[in-house]
Amino acid sequence: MIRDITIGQYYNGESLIHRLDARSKLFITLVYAITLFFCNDLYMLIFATIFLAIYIGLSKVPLSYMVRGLKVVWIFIAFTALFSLFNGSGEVLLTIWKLHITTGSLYTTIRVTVRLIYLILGSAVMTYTTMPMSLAAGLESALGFLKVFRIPVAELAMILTIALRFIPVFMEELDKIMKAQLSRGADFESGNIFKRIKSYIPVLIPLFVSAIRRATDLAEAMDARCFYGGEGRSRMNPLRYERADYFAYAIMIIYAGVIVLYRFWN
Amino acid sequence: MALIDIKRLSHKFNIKDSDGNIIGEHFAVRDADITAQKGSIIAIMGRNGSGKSTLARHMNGLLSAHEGSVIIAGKDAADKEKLLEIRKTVGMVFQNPDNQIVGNSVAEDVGFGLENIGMETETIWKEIHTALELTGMSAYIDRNTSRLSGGQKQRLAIASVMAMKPECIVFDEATSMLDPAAASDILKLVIRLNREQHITVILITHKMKEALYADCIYVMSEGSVKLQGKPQMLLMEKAEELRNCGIEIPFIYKLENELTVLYEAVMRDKIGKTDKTDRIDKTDRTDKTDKALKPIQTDKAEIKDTDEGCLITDIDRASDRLANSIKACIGAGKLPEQKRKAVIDDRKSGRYSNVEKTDSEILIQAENISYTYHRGDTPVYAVKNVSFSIRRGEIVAIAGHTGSGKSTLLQMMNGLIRPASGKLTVSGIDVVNTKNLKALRRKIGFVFQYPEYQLFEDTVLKDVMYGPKNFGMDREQAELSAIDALRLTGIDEKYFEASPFELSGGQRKRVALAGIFAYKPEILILDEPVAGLDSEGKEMLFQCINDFKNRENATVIWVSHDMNDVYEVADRLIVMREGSISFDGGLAPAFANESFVKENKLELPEMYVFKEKMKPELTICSNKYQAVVEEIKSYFQ
Repeated sequence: MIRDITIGQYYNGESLIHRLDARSKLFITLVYAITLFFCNDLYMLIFATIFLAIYIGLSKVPLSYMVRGLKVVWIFIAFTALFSLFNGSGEVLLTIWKLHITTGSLYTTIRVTVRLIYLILGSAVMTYTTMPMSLAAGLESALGFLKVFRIPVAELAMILTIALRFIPVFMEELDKIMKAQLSRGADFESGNIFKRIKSYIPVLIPLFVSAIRRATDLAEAMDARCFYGGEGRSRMNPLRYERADYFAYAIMIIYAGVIVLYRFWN
Repeated sequence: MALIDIKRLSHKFNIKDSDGNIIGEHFAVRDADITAQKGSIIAIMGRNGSGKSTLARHMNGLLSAHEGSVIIAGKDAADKEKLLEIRKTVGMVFQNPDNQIVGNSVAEDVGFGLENIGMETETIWKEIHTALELTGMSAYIDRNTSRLSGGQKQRLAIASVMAMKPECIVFDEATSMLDPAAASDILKLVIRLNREQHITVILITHKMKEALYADCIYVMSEGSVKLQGKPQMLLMEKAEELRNCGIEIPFIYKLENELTVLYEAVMRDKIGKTDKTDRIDKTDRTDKTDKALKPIQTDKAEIKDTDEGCLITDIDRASDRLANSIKACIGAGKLPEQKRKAVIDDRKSGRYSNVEKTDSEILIQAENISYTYHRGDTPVYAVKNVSFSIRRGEIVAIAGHTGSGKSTLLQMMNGLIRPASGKLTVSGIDVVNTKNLKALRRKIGFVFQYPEYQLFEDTVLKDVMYGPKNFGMDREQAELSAIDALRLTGIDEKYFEASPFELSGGQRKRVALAGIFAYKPEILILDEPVAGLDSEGKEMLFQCINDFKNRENATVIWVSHDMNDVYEVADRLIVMREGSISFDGGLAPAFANESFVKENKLELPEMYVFKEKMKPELTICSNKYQAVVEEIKSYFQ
């Protein structure tokens, strides 16, 4: 059900990865994501798999929990896979109507799908192991240079934190509104696409109204607790690099180096 | 010097027409004077929309006054420089538990305010621990805030405010979205903070039960302070005025006021002082007021946590007093024997008791139904082998805590969730196998909690027509049933074309109810329908539901945590616990079993407690307030 969505949620645990500084995890995620696009043969994919397996293992987040998080995006993955399946050159393996599946397209599909799943899992480790506030603080610090361009980085980081905080609230609310409208005879499943989209209006309007109401309430509550924007705020969890963080940076640089070098040798 | 000193405060909103032009102004607060001494408890009461929340927002500078002055701890709230100081001095706990939590974890949320005032990291953590300890939340420090219960969320909100070291906390209907057990827990905490930490408390509430703890109650109506005084004095001497301001009088005081005249007359006849009625009346009253005022003073010192999760309040004492007075009249043997006999005969005829329905057809039949979900890899029973049957025209209350399987059970009735095993028949439809869920849902009106939040159309009428149209009525038919349903719920015709979002909370709730009534379901399922309503709104809603039930001979299944309401409305009670039914039967046997009441954390209905106190001299059969009054009166006539 809707409540199964675990992506972006913090998984309460104790592990090496949990203890890493948010900036290090941002760096790991970024490097891993970029290098994934260099991985275009089997050996490199195996290398990326081993890395991911160790990374997830160290985070101590159960694999089943992570896979459950994929449920929400599987449709997106399936769509991407389907698209590349009929789009490629090489020997024709199967023809459905006017579409051909070829050796090339099959290979691309596998590669694309694996990469996509790894990309999601790789970044999910970060969100599972980092408290949203630390994550926001990490982003704020990593993107701090944007302040020069008058971009309110601190406020954006606060918005991100609050958005993550309210995901479960809205999920629950969505579930409830849908059930209430179903009880009033709503039908979300039959009819053509336009009819179906229209059938969601009785769900979306109350959800928006509720979002506005909650936002107003929250703004008031934040005001009452002396929130005046980014200026003059202190941090309960200041960002601090430990030894493990330096190791993490070193490992990532070596990992990226190996992949890039391998790619250029072939 | 008073901590809070508000003088002739007015706050107004502009009234705009549909184009946004200002066409007038509306005073939310007008000429209000309020003072709160340091360390006191002040209650501000009034119906929804009386201006009490607007007033509260002036106390920590969330709103600024249009006229008058607001002085907090010697600082003028109009001075923008002092705003931060004032917000640190006066903390606020709001109504909706979800909408005031900023942090993703408990610690983060408590730390939020401290970060805002630029406290150093180490001190922040020290304060977090202290505040959590103070509010009994230490064990949850790392918990994700979305996994807390409503009561825990409010506790956290209090912790977050306490961490800022305030002198005063304003509670803006902080318990109105909680079940009674959680609400009384929160109230206990508030009282403790007042006693032990000397926090000045401002309680914005419409529950008299909470306001009884106040040193002074201010009653607001239409923006002005209409009444002011000690709780006991107001209840004893200004009951009528309180009612006019929309305040619900605890039933025992209501009963006392109604019966006093009666039993005093009997006593007078007995003693033979018929000619001095006036004087007796007065001395008797002042005497009572004095007695009532004293105990509440001692009360303040001796409030302790009780295992039952109930507060020892003056209500209990008032109940004793009334029971004893009535007993004195009747027990003295002054009642003619034939009168007593007549009453007993009358009772046997079933005039006063709630007759259990055994003759009408069975509408809902559940046999061993179960439902499981997976937590990780282990299956968990939400509902386990539950069997029951409900007949046409019954009013069944369902109680049980969050996670007891109660909502799963209800959602099975209209096929939102299908039973994994067992047999469930509703109005002749096999819920487990039916392909036509719409036909099933048409027979059941499912009113979710806060149904007013599910309105979406641009006019009231269209919104009410949504259900009937979904269930296959044509436009004309749907409009006719919508109008009929709106009339039944007492919505004035002038609102039919208005947007549902322009209405008051109580009206919106009734519109939502009309949206269900419009397709004339045979079974009405109501999930905490009166949550958040003031006493007038509640009465009106009960009336609507009753009218519909009587007209359509509908079955009502009604989820409530409030045993006082259950006692007043229902004929039968089902209690869910850990996925099973732990009780199913009449109300009297349910509350008579003390250990059962304790185990299921039910609060005894005040009426039941009173009736028990009348025993053995007088056994009252009725449950409903009006019927009890009549039954007691019949002894005196």
